[in-house]
Amino acid sequence: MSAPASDELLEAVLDATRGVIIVVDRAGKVLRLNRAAAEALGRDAKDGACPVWDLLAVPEQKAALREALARSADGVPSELTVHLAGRHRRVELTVKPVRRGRGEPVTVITGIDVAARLEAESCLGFTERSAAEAALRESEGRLRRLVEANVVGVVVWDLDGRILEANQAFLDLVGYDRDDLLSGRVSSWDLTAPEYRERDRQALAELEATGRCHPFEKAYIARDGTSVPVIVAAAAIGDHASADRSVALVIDMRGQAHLRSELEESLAHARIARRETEEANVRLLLVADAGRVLARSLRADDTLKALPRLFVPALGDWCLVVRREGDAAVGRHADPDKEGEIARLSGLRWRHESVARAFRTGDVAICAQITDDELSEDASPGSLLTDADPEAARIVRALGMRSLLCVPIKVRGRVDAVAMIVSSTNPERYGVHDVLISEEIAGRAAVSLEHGRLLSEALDAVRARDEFLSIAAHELRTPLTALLLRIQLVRSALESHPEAKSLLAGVANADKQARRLALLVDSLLDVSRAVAGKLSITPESVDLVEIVRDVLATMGPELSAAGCELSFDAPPSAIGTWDRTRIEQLVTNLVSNAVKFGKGRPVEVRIEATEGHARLSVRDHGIGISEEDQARVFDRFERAVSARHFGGLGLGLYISTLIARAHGGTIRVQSEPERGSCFIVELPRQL
Amino acid sequence: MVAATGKCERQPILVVDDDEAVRDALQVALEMNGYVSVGASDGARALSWLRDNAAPGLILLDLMMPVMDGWALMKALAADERFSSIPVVVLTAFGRDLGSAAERTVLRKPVQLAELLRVVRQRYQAEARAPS
Repeated sequence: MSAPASDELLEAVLDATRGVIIVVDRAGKVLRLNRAAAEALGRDAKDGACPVWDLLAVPEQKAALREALARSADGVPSELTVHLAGRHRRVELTVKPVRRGRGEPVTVITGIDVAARLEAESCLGFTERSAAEAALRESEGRLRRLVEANVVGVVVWDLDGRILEANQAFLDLVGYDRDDLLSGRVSSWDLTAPEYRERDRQALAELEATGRCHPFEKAYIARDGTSVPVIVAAAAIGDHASADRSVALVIDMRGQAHLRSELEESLAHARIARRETEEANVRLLLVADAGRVLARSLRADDTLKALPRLFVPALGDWCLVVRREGDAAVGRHADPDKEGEIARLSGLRWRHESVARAFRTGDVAICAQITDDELSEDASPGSLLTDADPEAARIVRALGMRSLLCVPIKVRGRVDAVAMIVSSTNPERYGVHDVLISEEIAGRAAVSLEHGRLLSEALDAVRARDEFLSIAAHELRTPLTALLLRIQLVRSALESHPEAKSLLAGVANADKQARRLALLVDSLLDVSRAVAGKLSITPESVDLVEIVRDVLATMGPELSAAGCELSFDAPPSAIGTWDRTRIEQLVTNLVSNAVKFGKGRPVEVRIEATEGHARLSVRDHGIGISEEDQARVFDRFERAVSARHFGGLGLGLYISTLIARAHGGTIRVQSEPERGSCFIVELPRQL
Repeated sequence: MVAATGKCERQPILVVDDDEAVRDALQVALEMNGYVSVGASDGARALSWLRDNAAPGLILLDLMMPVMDGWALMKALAADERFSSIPVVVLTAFGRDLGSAAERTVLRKPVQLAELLRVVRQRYQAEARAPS
């Protein structure tokens, strides 16, 4: 092949090559450019004679090229990447020395356009990438519109958590300037409230794994230190596998959080209200129960015994009622198997400091957070058991005592007993409600105790009075017996001596007064016996007609003295099973009343007998009894008229009623004021 | 103290009462109405007299007495066949339940002279029916 032909061929090949080829001499002057180089540099291929580094666009790259040329002069090739001037193509250059036969050695610089190479290399994947990039551009466009709309907070950050972009809505939310965030002075970590950082890490892990994270709740710390509740959702930007940025959408939940907290507060209130209602119901039932139970206890001991049943298990696991005297009267354990320990504890010497306090102050005492050390049996300063023996302390520890409610039972200002209510396990069992409820029950117990005490005192008083009356009556009757017998003996002796007539009248009067005295004493004793429910009768077969006739005969002088004309209307006999003495007493009472209130007018006594009954009526025409007084006259110590004008104890009709009743009979009155009264006694003939 | 008064040919009435004034008045009342009486101040003295003497026609018996009361004396009488048929009239100021004494004829203190004499007449020698 000839040289020119060879030169022409070479020229043709050089120009046909798509790569850049530049031939330079040892001084770096360009000797030859092929077509691709001329096109890349935007110059004519024939232009030359300029140093090759003037063909570079970036001044910093010129030195590198000079060094490469220097190495080439020494026969060492180099590779480097530069930007060519003109169309600014980035090319990878290979700088190599080429020796010619006789001529000066030259350096051939060949270069491949980087873009062209990449294009060639990824020829296969080109379409997909292009589509992906187009999609990304579209999604970035949408993101941009979202960012600019400021409807929600948008923040973009890189893998290091550095914020790359934040819209105004986000800035408003956190209160920082854009500069604070983009400069890196404040990172997205700094913005997150510490308690949500772990949640943030989980979200980032999800983001890395799947390219997105589901919306979650967190809170930012705003610049002014306030906590800003938000909902955040995030996505990686572009293809998540190689993504280096993420975007988060942030929704301000401050308004909603307020609503939610209000809702939660309302719910909490509702729950509290419901629990309080339930507790109130329990308390109401407890108090109602207390009222019922305590109302049944009329003796102090019964009341104290009822208390533990009210307190356990409603208010505690076990309970002891400690009396002022120091002993535990009664107790109860919620577990019936432990009643034995309670009973043993009752017999032992011990007292908790809180019990002593309740006695001292009269107020409910609570003791919480009790430890076993405080229940030690020795009298160490820490022990709360006062005066305890080791056995008592051991039982208390075994039963358990973590908190205490000591409720004083106050009667007329004095603490009579303290109910010690114990929680075995809960160190904070007792609160205000328990104090109120136990005070209520204690109040009711106190009322019950007070009633019991009053009743007991009243019964004692009644017994004492009856005892006194009984003894007094006995003691009065003894001398009266002697007196009456003596007077009546003298009287009967004088009756046979007409010359002693004036003396006889005096003795008769003494006799009358002595009998009156005897009747009054009888009345007193009758009443005392009647109150005790012991008006006894000794029934025998007697004739009512005979009894009444005897009484009227005995009372003859009295009737004449009052000027009352007496009429007696009766069948021949009226036999029945009655107590002779009592019936005499009854008739005497009724006829005495007729004389006393009869204004000296006629008195009519009548007996009627039927097969089953006998009826006695005593009618006067005296002052009478008003309708409202008619029921009252049969009561004890009652009288329809003033005691000043009419003497007596007011017991006559009361005792007559008792006598009639003791015989299974009745007594009643028919009367009109100023027209007189008629007392009617009906007696069954057989008891 | 046991003291007998009056004519001894009749069976006496034994008056048992710790109160001297009452016992005295009772004995006077009985004597003035033709009876012979013996007084005893308690159940033990009465029992002692009964053991040493012939049976009385009646015992007029108080209940509330020291040493041996009326109930105890009645029990002792019932337990001894020599005395169990002697009529007894209880005369008492005791206001409460009389117990076993309620089975006897009972007079309440203060007793009227007429009532006393009526009952004594009725009960005297009632069981014994000795000729007067």
